[in-house]
Amino acid sequence: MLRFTLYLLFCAFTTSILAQNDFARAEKMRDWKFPRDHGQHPAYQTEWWYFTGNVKTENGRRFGYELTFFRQALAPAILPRESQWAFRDVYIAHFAITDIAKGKFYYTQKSARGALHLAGADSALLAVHLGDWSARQENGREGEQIRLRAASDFGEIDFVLQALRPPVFHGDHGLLPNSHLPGDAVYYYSLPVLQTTGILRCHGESFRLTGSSWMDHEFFTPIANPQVIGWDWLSLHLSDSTAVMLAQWRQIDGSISPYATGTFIRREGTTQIFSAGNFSFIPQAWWTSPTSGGKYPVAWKIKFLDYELQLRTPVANQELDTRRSTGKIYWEGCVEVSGKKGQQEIRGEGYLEMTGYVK
Amino acid sequence: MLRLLRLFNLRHLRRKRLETLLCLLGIALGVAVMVGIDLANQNALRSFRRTVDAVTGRATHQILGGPAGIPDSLAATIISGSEVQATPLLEYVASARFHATIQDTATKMILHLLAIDPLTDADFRDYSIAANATARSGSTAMSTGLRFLLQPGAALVDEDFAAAHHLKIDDTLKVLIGARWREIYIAGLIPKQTLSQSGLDNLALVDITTGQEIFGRVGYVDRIDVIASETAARTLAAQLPASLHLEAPARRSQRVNDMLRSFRLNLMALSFLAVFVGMFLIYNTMMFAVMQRRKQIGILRCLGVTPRQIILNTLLEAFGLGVIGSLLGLGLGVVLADYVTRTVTTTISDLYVFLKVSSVTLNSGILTKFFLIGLLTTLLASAVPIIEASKVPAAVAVRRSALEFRAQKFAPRFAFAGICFLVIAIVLALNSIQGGEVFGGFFFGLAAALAVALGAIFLTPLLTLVLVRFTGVIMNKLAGMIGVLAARNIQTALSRTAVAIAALMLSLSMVLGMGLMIASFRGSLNDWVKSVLQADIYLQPTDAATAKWEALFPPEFIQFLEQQPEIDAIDLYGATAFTYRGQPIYLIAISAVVVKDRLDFIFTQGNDQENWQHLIAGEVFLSDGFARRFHKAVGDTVVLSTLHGPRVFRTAAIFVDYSFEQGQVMMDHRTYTENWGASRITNIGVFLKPQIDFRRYAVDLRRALAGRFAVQVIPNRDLRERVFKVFDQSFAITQVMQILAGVVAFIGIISAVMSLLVERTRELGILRAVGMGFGQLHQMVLIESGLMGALAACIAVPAGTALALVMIYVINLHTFNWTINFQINFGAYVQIWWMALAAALLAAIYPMSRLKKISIAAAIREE
Repeated sequence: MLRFTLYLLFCAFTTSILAQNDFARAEKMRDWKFPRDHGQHPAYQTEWWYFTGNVKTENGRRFGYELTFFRQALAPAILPRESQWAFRDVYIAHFAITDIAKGKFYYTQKSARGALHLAGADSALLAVHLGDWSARQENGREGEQIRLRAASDFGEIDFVLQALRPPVFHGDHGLLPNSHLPGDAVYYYSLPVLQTTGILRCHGESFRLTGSSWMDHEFFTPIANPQVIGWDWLSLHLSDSTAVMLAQWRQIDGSISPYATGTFIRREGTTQIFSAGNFSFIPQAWWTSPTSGGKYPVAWKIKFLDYELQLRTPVANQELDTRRSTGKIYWEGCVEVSGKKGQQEIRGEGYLEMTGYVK
Repeated sequence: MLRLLRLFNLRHLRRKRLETLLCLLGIALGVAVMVGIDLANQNALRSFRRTVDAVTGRATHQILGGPAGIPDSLAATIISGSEVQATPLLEYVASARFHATIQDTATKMILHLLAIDPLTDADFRDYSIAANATARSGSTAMSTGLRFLLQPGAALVDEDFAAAHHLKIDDTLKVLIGARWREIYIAGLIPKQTLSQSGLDNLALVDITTGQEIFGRVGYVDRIDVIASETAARTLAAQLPASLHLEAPARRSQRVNDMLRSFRLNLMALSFLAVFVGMFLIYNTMMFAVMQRRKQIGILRCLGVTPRQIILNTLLEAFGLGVIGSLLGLGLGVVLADYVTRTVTTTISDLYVFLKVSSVTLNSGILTKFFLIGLLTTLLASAVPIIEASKVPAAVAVRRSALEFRAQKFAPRFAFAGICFLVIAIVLALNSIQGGEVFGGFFFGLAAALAVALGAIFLTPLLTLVLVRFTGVIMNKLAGMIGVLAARNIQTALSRTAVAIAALMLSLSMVLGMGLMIASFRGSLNDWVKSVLQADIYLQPTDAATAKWEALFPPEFIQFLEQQPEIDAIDLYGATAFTYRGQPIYLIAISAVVVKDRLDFIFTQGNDQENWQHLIAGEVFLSDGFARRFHKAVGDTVVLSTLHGPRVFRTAAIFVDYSFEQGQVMMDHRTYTENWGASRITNIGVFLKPQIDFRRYAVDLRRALAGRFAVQVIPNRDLRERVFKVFDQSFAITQVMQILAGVVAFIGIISAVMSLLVERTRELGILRAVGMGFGQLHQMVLIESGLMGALAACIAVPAGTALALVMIYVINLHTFNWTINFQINFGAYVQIWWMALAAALLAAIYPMSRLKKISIAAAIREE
């Protein structure tokens, strides 16, 4: 017996082949235009805007945050209805704060229908909101400046994000295949280095913070791939002013999908795309969730180019039980790395996402 | 020694099988009355609360709007805020049918429709979709969820309901909403497990989109449920616009209590009455049982048994009887509860909110409580006389005359106590009438009724003596020596006859009091019906029976009506549930211009024409109930919260009303629309042109409406009948109590007369010996018994009338709050007379049959 929740709807999203035929698919190369492509793409069924970042106070007290907006279309189009509550898109948002000094992790989730301004996204620029949580492009004068706001009973953020690099396209100029299945691909770009300033309140305490964030924007029409049981995704800001994104899909037989990918972003903004053979991303130590029983790797050994990095997380429990909204339990949290690039000492911070670890 | 005594007890019980049986029956009935009423009350009230709680879910607060509800945009703004969790809701209780024509009203199905926003509702309520709809395959689950959200009319229906009506997924249902049949279809089932926990029966969930569309409420939600901390709630309340208000959890349950206030008080009064009657019955029964043994006790004392042993032994016997009788009573009570629950549930469903009639769930607390009450009353009832009897010197105890002598000596003292009780009753009643405090007032009223009863009981011995002396003269003339003997017998056996008469008198008083109250109420109601229900034909949406003032006429219907050439005038009547000073009341909008010359309102003061002019000018009328409840007089102002914030209204007049016990504020439609938005039309009175025959027109109208609108066309006389049907139903339990009081009376008198005559074997033997024939003996017994009945009825006349006055002017005003004019009802008085005589005469049959067995020799051997 299932609780009558959104999870039910999400069963629908991944299995509704019939309805999906009418959605567009990430198949062709895309002619990217900004700020238009920061907006929503209603022709595709699923879309998300992911903000993660590591921030600290003047005194060096560190926090991590995640604010994510999902848009999920229930159908390509809906019947005209009298009631204003009628809707096509479900919006879901996850919000989390990691208080590294106290070793605490807080998160919450929200969902709403894309109707009556309860939730929605603009088609012309980045402006997505769910209730009073929002990510909005405020003005286009100095590159992209994004205002992030979210509040919950545990805390609140009000950040301004300034893009220090232009959008970075993953895969083949922003088209990233997930498997050999036709149409199983996503459009995916990032704003990899977002200088972040603003205020974070956590359990009554207020902090003025600076740091750096990462934005991912993906849109696609999902296809069920029974071979894949989960994925590991990582974004890092390194001390040599480079950044990297790594992603791999774990398959049912324990192997890593050959479609694993990565993007290395040099100091000056040029990129290098990795495919499965170009990097390694190997678990070293595990943490078992006391609530879900999921066994997550929380220490990793990472190799790409001439980088050799050791990843660890300052807080082991950064697991989100979002079965009530997206129907998933996943781990998404701030991480730190240290290691070498050849002889050079390298340090860094980033965010790690791990899904499919709960049986 | 005790063993021997116990043996003696058993022998006594076996020898007096019928007396023992009556005794057990008395205890059992007493316990049964208490258990039955209390169990039924608990059941009905619990299921009512469960329904309310289940709909409320985990919400800590609710945001409520005016009668029109909360506009979408406002609702969306509130839901978007992060400070609290909030979800919108619409609710409707509708009649439903399937695969059937609209005209067919044979099968009545009720669906509790709840329109929710599943995206924000998950934290508030646990609904699940039946396993068979999801677990089998992903695609079924997909279609259920998606269809629910996207397709017009998609509903999730309670699995039990579906099974009971052989409904399956994809079946179409028609639901009756505001005079229109709307279509929904079953997209999925909600499993039993969730429902049995939640207490919601006959549930159907729809998405808020579908809800707004089928309820005809596009643009509005009924309320917003909120989960919030106290601080967040306070902030939210301060931010709300004037047209909305936030209700705290304590207030929510308070509102439920308020809604049922008078009903609960009524049930409570019945419970008290039941306990009183039950205990009295047990006491009575046991006292007779012990008194019969006075002589045996004397003999035992003579034999050297100590008083202590006698007391212990009798109590042991009482304990045995108490246990068996109480257990029997529990069983009987459960049977009775089943019947009473049904009436109580029907009344709640008729007057307040739809409840499914549920079977009685046994509450061990209640059962234990009344078992103990039954047992303790039995013990107490036997302890008092047995202690008294055992203290009397052995030789005296054998002689009854001693007791009777004492009883006659005590009669004036008892009478003095009785007068004291009556004075207390008057003080309590006056206090209750003047004291404004509602609940305390109710208890004062109840105490006053109890004091009246006790006063009458204590006055009974003296009144019996006086009346017997008086009747002795009449009896002499009527029946000669035998009549005098019969009257004297009552006097000389006062210790028992007075108790029997008091028991019968008390039961008769209750019957009379209730009868007079109901008759007065009915009479007052009749006056009102005649003056106010004067339209030729009344119209009501067919679903009004389930939707309780939520069933509205669609605007198309009003237009249709206005085009009818036969109609002279239409009175559009709109009742809206509202709150005043946090209490539930009703706002009534009427077509003042239409009714001012056509209806004959009963105003407490003022000139009718002027009153109506004031109403049309924007003032309001208050119902008498409202005026009493909130202490308002003509000219006083009433502050009501409107769309534009609080507004002051002047009271133009106060009128007598029987439609809403909560009280109402009546105004013209124009006043209503200005302050609360579009008029809600719940009932329509149609005045026909003079030459039109209303009967024929009713038939024509029904035909014209068929298939278009589900509207009940009720000719004037039918509506009046209906009013009285509801009235009678509300008093159904009271009638049960009346019957039980009658049974109590019967058992009381039967055991009294029987023991009197059986014990007087010796006397009767002497009478036989001195030459009295069987016929004369029979005559004497009949007269004696009948005289006791008549005496009881005589005393019951003033006592019952006093009880009726207390019920009407004290208890009623604190519970129902109706204006009831006390009316002498000849029928009610006649009723208790024939009840008294029938009980007395029936009671004489068994003793008369025993007379034949009296052997003169054996009877007078002792002399």
